[in-house]
Amino acid sequence: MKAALLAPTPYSKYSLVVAELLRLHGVHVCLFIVPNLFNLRRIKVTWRRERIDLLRKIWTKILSSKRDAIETPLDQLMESEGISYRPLPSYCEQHGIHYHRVKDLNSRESANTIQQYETDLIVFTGGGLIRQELLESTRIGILNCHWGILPEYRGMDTTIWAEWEQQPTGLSLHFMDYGVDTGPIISTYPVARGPEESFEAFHGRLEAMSAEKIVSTARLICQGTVDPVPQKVTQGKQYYIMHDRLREILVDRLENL
Amino acid sequence: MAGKIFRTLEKLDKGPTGEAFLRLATRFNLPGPEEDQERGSRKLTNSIWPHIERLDQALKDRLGMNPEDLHALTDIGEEEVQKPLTCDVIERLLRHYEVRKGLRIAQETSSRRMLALASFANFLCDEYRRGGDLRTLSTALKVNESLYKQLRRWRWSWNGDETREIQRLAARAFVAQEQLLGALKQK
Repeated sequence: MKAALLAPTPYSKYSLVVAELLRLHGVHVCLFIVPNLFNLRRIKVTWRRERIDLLRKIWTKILSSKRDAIETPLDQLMESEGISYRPLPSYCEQHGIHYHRVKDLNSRESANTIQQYETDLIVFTGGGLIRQELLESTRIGILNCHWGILPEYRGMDTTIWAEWEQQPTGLSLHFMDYGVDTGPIISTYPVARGPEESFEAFHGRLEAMSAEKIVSTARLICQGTVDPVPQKVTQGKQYYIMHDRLREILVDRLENL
Repeated sequence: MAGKIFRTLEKLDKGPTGEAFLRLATRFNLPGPEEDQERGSRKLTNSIWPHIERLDQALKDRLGMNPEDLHALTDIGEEEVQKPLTCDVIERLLRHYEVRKGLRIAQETSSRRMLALASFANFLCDEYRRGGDLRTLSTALKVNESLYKQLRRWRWSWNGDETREIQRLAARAFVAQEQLLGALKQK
């Protein structure tokens, strides 16, 4: 079985870890599709959505020389698995994986490339909303790990929304479909924030867990032992990016309970 | 050095604070309830009144939208599967009005756009008070922020009554937002 990965940037540490873990566990990764980092439209859309978070990401993940100095749970996972960081193009070159840069993940070019490589499964490690053409380009589907318990908490910032509503937080593995986090659910893993743990630390922990879970689920898919359950759209709620001022209040209240 | 650059970036990006919203509301000299009612309804010219009436009615009918749609307006375009997500909040709002109710509200002038936004912000604040769904408050904050930024650039309208109505609605939405956030902090 052949798998392709979608990554948000050529510098994504998370995508690198997922790819390497898949490879170490015997899943054949044949293709990486990464959108062009300097696409003006993409920058505009991301800026509108993320504002200061985008600057923070650019600074910490690309520009800052100290980016490797702060050890996150993902770094610890890399260390324990013996994975060393390098940008995706050089990683792909080293392991004979085809690296394909596209203008937009949803372009016809992406779908054509996936079909050309006859990939069975796509593993989503970031890059935005996925549209019809790409959804239909692979035999099994696109696997995603959502940071929230589905079907109750779909969309963005679901860890904060769920905790504020005193509901379980965690991860959900599902196949992507036309809606936002509305595809068939493979499994859910409740993960609670620790009593003294900040949301930043909690999100770091979720990131590392997410990498492990998406890999173990991809392996189960390869073995043909998963039984995805379709979601009832009426069952859950869709959440959107929380306004910064509201987030500040809720995070402060929740962290200081 | 890194910290300095980062702080500068944060300052550049910082959205309006609560104080800024209230300062602008005060500048609009929010009238008392009786005066407010008089200015807000009877003195409006025929040209603008049907728009407001239709907008209010549409909002009362909730535009045939479920709660998810309200939030979607500020985050995802009407035909999100087909089209790129490039339109801003006003375009989404207007597109929604047009598509759902056949309304033609705020296309021609920036004043009319602000009128639509201000009405929508008030509606969302009322919805949050009524239902307590924090998603609605988050959406109200986004709409108010967009309105605030436009009002800062906007100076006047040919129509004095239109100007007063925009200011009245905006001031009401800004004050409501700050009261609701204040209450949430105390909760």
